[in-house]
Amino acid sequence: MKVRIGWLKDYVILHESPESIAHILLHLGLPAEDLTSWGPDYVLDLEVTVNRPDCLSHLGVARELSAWLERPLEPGWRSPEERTDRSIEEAVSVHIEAPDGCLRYVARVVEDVRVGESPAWLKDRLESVGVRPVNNVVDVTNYVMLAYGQPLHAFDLDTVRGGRIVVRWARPGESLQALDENTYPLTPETLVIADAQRPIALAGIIGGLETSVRPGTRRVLIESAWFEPRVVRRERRRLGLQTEASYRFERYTDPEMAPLAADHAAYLIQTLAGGRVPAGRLDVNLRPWSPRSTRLRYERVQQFLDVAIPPTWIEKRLQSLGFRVDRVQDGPTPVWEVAPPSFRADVQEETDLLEEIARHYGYERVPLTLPLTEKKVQPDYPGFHLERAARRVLQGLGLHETVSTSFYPDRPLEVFSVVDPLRVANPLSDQRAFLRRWIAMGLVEAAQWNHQRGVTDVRLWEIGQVFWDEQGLPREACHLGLILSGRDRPTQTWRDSTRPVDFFDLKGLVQTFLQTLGWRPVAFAPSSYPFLHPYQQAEVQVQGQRVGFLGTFHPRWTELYELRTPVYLAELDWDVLRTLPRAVPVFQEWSRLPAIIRDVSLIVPESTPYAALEQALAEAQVPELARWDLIDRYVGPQVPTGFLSYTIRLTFHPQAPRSSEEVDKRIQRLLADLSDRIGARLRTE
Amino acid sequence: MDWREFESTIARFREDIRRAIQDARSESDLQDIRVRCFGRQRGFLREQFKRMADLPPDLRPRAGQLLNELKEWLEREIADRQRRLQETHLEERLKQERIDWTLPGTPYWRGAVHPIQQVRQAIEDIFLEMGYAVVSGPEIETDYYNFGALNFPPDHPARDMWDTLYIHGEWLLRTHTSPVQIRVMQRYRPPIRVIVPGKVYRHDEPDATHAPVFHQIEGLVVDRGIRFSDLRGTLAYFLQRLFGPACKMRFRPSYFPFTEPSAEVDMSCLLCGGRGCGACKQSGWLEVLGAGMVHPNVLREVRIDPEVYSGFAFGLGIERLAMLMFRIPDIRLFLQGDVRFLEQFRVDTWAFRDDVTS
Repeated sequence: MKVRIGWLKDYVILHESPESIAHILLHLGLPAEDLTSWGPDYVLDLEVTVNRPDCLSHLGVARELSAWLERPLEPGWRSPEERTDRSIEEAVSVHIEAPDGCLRYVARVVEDVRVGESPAWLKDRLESVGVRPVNNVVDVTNYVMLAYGQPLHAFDLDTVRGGRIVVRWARPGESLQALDENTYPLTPETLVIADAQRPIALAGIIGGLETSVRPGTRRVLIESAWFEPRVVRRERRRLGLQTEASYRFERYTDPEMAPLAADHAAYLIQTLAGGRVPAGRLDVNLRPWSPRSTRLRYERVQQFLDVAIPPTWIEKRLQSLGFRVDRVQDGPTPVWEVAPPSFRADVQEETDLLEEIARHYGYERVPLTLPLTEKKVQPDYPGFHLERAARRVLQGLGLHETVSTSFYPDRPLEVFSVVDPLRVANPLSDQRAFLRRWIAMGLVEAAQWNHQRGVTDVRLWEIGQVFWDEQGLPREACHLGLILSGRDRPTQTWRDSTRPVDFFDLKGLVQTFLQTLGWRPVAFAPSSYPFLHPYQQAEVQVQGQRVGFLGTFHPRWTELYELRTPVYLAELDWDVLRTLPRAVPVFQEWSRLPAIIRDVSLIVPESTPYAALEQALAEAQVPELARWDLIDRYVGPQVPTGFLSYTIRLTFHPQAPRSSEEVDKRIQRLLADLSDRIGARLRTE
Repeated sequence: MDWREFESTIARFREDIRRAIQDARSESDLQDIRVRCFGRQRGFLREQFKRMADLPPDLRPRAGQLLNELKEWLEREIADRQRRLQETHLEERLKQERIDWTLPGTPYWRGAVHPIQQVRQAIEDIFLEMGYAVVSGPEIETDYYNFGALNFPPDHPARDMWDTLYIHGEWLLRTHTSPVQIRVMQRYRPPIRVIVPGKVYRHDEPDATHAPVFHQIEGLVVDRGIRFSDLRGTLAYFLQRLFGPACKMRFRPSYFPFTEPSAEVDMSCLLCGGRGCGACKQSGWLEVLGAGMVHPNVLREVRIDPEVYSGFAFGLGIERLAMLMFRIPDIRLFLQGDVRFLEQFRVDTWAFRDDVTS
């Protein structure tokens, strides 16, 4: 809302600098986005919150200043000079047939006007606040709206058929060509102003072209009405048509202003465009406004704001803001009945009055205190601390945390074979209308973004919500995703070269992550995710429960996404994972005797997965065998075709001193066992 | 054999050995010397002890003393020489092991915590200390939780302050973290002290300062006798804990449907300290928080009696704070996953500051 300081001075005496006026208004809740000079004058561009439509006028802003500065407010209403020989009833009649949409309709008529250019002062005022002058009649309606906040409309009365104004709902099939020259189809939910035959204006939004005031117009009908905010809002949203009028009507206008504004407009038209005004105004007022008072307790003011404001100050300030204040209980902590003025529909209960008092007393004068607190009452959300721990662990493992958008185009849906996608009804762009089903969708996009920019070492993770549709209901869950691509170390060094990361780097990472947070045991099982390499993927299990997947992004899609290296993806269902019990470390005594280490190379049929060997080792239950590690895997000339060789490092933690022979005997037994179970035999050079 | 001969034999030997020890260049040289002196078969000392029998008995004690002195001297000299030889060898080995310590060290991967999370955590920590719980809620909400229960009249212009992305029917993507206020108050009775971090969604065209997806932190306190001054004090404390004791706060009236009185909270500009610069549009102030006292209608909606209880709520945009703290020029950088951006936050100073107190 643009406000000209010189204009404010019509209503309140101001000798403060424009900057101090802006400063006062800021502290009253009307911050200026901009302060610009206009000739010798200044214009403030005020941000007016939706609860304060009364400040969408110069008078409203002046009222705030007059209260703050404790100076009188002079609205300066004027009325036209009326004919005694002709009354308005002879010129027009007004009928409200839609009381749901319009509660008050005031009409004034000015006849024998000379439509022409407005005087310089009027054009200058309008232009200074960003309104284009049209002609003296239209300019007056705009001027009155900007001055007093009441949107007006002027009709060429000679084009209003039957001299009838009917406020009604539009009928099926009706349409209206508006002042903006667009023709709008109307619906039975459209509130219109009609004449005897047809709609002539969209109530509270825009007038019709045909009945508009133009050069040559002789008789002017001024409309000053109160329209139901929700009706205006609904319609202007349907039409996508925001006007100065609809902006005010949908926020609530002052019903008591309607007759005053009509009179003032008639007076101004008469002054600027000549003309004669038939006696009286038509004022159809279906529900006359009456004040609704609210109880205000001084005790509450004191307690709530923690300040001791003199009761008389409160009374005076509320009164100067237009409130009626009646003291119903005297004493050191009085109680009042306070009735807000007609232009303050936002004030409905005591708390709203507390804001008025705080606002004018000054938010900055309210002291700083802290609530008394004893202890934490509510629990943190489930998994909160675990999430923080995960963040630390993954940072330590050298992964960057990323955060992605939740919106994706169709392609990732296809790539990730999503069968239950959730779509946004009104997406920002049709390109990205779907909510993510997997965190991996964003991670793959991040990989693409980085690869395209020559950064192929991508080690990222993300935690966040994923979404899907379940029988028509939107669902969401928290997932944790990881992605690896590029090299196994940050850079080649003068000592070591790098190698590309692979599936096993990711597998080790996932295992380390899970184990570090205390989840045991971690296992892997066959899986068949269509977006992963069919022979390089696995399901991740914790305590026998499926918690996610890991694998190589399918080479077909790697190509489609123009990724420069293979990309490895893992995703864990965090909502499942976080509920699984986690092991607390329990101290275990170690053997005081030195460990005995033996390496054995085994030859097994090529088709034997390592897991089978591991299982056989576990089941053999060799006493004192504390751990085993696969230290070599070999296929080549020294191994017969159709076989491969695993070299296992066995570590024994003896309970008593053992001779070499004893250990060898155990290994012999183990080898016999492995031979029985999986057909393994010792490899001899 | 007379005494003189005995004495001179020893003196000669002593002189020979002294030279031999001096010339010894290795452990094996020393070993030869040891054999010459102490050898069981033909060691010098052994032989001289044997020869003592040829001396007159009254001279034998003196001879014994002489030989013992020699023995001690030999042992000392050889040990000395041995130590010196070892020292020399070590020095030579160390010389060979010389490295150019200016060569680069082995690089390790270093991960970064996303700046949004760093800021979020710094904020959470301040409120955790004050006994707040960190709570969360769904990102897909109903109209009721996002608007209705928060005192938004149906079809009211206040809804335009929050441009909404809809799923279907009543379902929408939450436009703020405030629906969690309702969920918390439905679940717990006062006293309530929570903060709510989370992702929120707006139908905003992305540009340098607007993103359709961003993050907020919401705070809610409900108890008997919570005052407007408590809100002011809490936020002043919070800002000073986060930005240091020099940080100033400014409260000015504003409007949110779910709070009354409502306030916009400004802090003195981080970059210019309040003198005025480009970041604060020369005003010296940065708008960082929206806040207010919980509207009685919101309390009534969750069956908390506003005559008995009162509360305050506040909310802030994490990206905006992060942009100020890290001087990030464009909000779109946060969600791009660009490694060149993310890796800049491997040093997370804001999350673990212990030098800021107020």
